[in-house]
Amino acid sequence: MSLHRWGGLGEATFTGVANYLRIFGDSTFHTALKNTIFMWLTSTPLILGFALILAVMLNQKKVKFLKYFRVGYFMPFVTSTVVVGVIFTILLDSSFGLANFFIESIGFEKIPFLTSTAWSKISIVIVLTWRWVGYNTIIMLAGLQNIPEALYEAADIDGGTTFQKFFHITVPMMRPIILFTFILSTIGSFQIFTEPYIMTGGGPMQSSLSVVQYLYNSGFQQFRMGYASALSYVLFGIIFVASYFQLKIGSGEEGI
Amino acid sequence: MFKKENISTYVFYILLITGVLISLLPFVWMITSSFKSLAEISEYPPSLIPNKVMWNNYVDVFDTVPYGRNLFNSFFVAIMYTFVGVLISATGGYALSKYRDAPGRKLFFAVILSTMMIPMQVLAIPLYIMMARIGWINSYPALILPFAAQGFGLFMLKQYIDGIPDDLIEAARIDGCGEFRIFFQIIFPVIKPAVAALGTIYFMNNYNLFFWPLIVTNKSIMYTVPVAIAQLQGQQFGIPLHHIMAAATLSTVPLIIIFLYFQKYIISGITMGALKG
Repeated sequence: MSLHRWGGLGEATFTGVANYLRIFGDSTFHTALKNTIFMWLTSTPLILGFALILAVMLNQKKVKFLKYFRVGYFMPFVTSTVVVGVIFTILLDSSFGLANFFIESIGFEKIPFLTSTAWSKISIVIVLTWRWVGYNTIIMLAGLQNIPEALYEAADIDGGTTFQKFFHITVPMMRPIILFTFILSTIGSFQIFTEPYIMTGGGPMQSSLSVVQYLYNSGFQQFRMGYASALSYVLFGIIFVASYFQLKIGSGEEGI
Repeated sequence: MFKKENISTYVFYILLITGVLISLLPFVWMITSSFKSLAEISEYPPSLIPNKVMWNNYVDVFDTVPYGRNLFNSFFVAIMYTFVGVLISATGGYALSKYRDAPGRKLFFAVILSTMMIPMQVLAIPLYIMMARIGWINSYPALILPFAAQGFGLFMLKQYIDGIPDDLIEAARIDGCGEFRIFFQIIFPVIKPAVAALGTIYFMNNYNLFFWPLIVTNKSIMYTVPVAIAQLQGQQFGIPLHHIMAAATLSTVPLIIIFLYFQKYIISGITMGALKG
């Protein structure tokens, strides 16, 4: 199908690799790809960083109400992305949003979160971070609980500080889990669709258009099915290559 | 006077509680907004408690869109999907785990694992064309079946079934048990916890699914809840924010109740995948 031109009705015309050639010269695709990579590279470190810190905090033996904290942090993940999208549409609204109320009350000017080309991507990243920190915290917490207690006890005897323990025991022991969550986040980032679709429609001026939304628009709004199929293959290629290299790099470093 | 120890404990809890508040505030805002009038939602500065509680929002949303039907669709599709999906994962997992002599078993397993890499968005266009060809656009089978076989679920249950000793199955076979009876009376009871975990994850994923239902339905009576809400949001003029918030609350509250009830299973299901994968 990706080798055809097809409007969804009637006969498809065979066009060879024309669709693929067009993708490489398509400036809208380039914009969508750049936006998606931006969202991936900003949201992933934020999400995993917060998640690791939170997981370490929750893993302290003295923490009370652990069960309630866990449920609270996990709640954003349970909700549908559409609901998350509509809630944040009003929270981040330029004129009446609650976020801007806080920003103004500490003396700054209102931010046009969803209506400016500079902020629209960042707003998507904020929402992604809010939604995914809890989920990754739960995974990392499970990983932390598998680290043998003896390692920390040995460090205590040697007089290791909290920070030393974090960077010399926790982080290396958590490497496989961090790699796992990193790959999940990467695959997830290249599938971003609902948040921009609901909150900004990909705008303003394509500033928050994601690859999947471009694929959707091509196939189901402009009815260029052949072109959208070709985009699907390119998307799959990107995800495949990205996860392959991460696995390679991850397992390579482990060998050192 | 505070001791140093105490202060750091306070800071610790203040940080944790702030985090939880950030996680939960949007939900509180959704619920209070759902009781506001349209004018009050867009007032500045925003109010937490509605001036006048508008119960009407919850009535009106059923008049503007067929929301009762949408809620039914979401529940019906998610339940059927969970049922079919778990059955496929359990039977498939059993076959892959215990029929070791079957030719091509390794190849099948490799192919199934590699499908986990392919996101739904990549498959959407070819699947849409298939659905259109067999006339399944706007139908329940199209909402339920295409993604019912999940490599992730098969893998998870196979791992679990691997732990069941073969002797148990052999003994049953010698006693003249049929394969279906072995599966339902011996395997199934043992893997129940994993099935519960997988089932809740399937249910939530499907209940929240947006991309596929958006593509495969175009009649408002066949929409699932996320698509119905998105269509309200997508209106050109006068977006009915008060109805959207009521609809969002109605769809989220049952899910939160299910989550609180099954949270043990959900969390174990998610971490199981991470630690073994």
